[in-house]
Amino acid sequence: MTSPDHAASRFARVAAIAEAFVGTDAVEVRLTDGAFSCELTRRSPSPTAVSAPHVVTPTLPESPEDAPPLRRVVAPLVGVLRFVEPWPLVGARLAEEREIAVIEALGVRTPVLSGGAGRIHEVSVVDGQPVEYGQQLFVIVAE
Amino acid sequence: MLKKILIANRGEIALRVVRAARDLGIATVAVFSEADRDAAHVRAADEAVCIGPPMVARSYLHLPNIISAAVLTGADAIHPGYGFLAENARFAEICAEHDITFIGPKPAVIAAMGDKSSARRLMDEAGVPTTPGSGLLESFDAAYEAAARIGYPVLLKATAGGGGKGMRAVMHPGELETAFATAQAEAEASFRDGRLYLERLIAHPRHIEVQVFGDSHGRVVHLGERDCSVQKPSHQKLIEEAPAPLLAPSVRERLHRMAVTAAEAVGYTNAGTIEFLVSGDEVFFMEMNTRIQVEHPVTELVYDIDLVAEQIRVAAGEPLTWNERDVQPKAHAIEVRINAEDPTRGFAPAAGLLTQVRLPGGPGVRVDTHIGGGDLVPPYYDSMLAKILTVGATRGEALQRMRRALRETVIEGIPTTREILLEILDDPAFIAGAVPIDYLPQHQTLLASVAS
Repeated sequence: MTSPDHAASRFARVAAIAEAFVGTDAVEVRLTDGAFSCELTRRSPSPTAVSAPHVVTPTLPESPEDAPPLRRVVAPLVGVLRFVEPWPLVGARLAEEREIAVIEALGVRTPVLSGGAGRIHEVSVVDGQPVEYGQQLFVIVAE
Repeated sequence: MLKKILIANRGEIALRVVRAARDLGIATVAVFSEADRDAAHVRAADEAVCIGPPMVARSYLHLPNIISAAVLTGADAIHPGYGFLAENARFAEICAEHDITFIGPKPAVIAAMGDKSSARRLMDEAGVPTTPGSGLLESFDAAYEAAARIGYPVLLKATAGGGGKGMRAVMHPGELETAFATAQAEAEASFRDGRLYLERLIAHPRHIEVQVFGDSHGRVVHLGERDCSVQKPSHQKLIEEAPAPLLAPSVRERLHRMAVTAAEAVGYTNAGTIEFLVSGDEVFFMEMNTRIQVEHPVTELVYDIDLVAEQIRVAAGEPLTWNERDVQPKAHAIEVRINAEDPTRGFAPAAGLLTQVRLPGGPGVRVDTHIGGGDLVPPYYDSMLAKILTVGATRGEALQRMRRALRETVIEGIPTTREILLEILDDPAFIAGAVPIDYLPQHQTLLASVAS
């Protein structure tokens, strides 16, 4: 059961699951397959959000622990992005959760939501641009 | 001619389609899941679009994102490869609704041949022999009556099935109830369709299939047969070769003729495969695969032809440029599947880091693969890593080259089927030829020698 080969293959399997996990938005993954089981939990805030471009600005505190959480808004599907009024420009304040754009695909418009209140920190796309799944559209600083 | 092809697949077949398209001067679009961002097919294609998270239901099976990617990139055709959406009639229909050429047969033909009970009825009507069997079984009682009428042993099969899922051999009436319940549950879980039928179990048959090709001008031709009898206990193919060894000329001729009859009966277009069970002089239609097959390169090597390029030409409306009188088998070819699986643990799939990969080469060797050293094999997808093919003037030469090719092959980091394949290639029963489909399950000693 615990031969070196077996342990190596188990390690490889966990490594593969971890690698795939990093690419998702999931916070936690639990997997059981016969005798094999593993559990992965992501530390908050998500590492992808922290590594978003232009994180350090004079208005943000130095210490990452004190930094206001940055939210990446990503495309939930493949389609053409359209901003909605009022246009989501850098610096715009969102008093509450609202629709900031839509993605048009095959004649269907899917709303893109801000995910809560905040200030638009980065606009990563232009109006009318084709976007792929998971593509970063906006970065929002929660306020 | 087509201008830009989106490939709705991953792995070696996605790469294979990119190559065929590029040889024809056609642009390509890859689609990929977040787990495949660095995959070979993504790097190879002219454009690439991320269509979803790693889980296939939300990426490689996600129709809206795939069609949307085709529309946005201006692709005028979609090649589905094999697996995933390749035999999904609805997908082919949606392509047509968006003026996208689906590289494959017509949706109605996919639907008719994909439903196994409907396919058997069509073949019965066309005069192609099928194994004595039942229609769809409404209940266990219906199965019990049908099995008694046909005579044991019988084989329970899922009408939506494939790859051995939902299939159970039943030797005695006492085993039927349990087998019926487990096959139904497995079919329901695998295909969301638990409907079953049963047929007579043919003892120790060979799996021999015939490659067919139809164009949109009403011509259907065959490109000979492939013997795919070396299968895992799960009925998945492990070794394929052409021509089929030790096959009586009269049986071979009958197989070819029946395959063309079957394809003509349904107005078949593009590449397809008719699978038969062969037992002595008896030949039975098993199923039709309405797509390019994993093992298509075996036929390509024997006939010196590019089947994927031909698929693209035919989909564009061009007539077939050859008939079976023009193309004669020129050699013997064999293919082995290197899978990320552990043969000593029931071929359990493995995933992880490929620490080292060295692939074979030299005269008479072809390798179709998407992997390289340092690649991570994700746990979400099919476990096939590479297809190694060899070709020779005779079967003996092809086998000898395969032994050499497998000994040159180094894949480290995760378990593979390489060693069990080498054992089979040295096994006198396999070398003699004409093994039946239960060859590998019956030869546990081969598995034992790998484990030691």
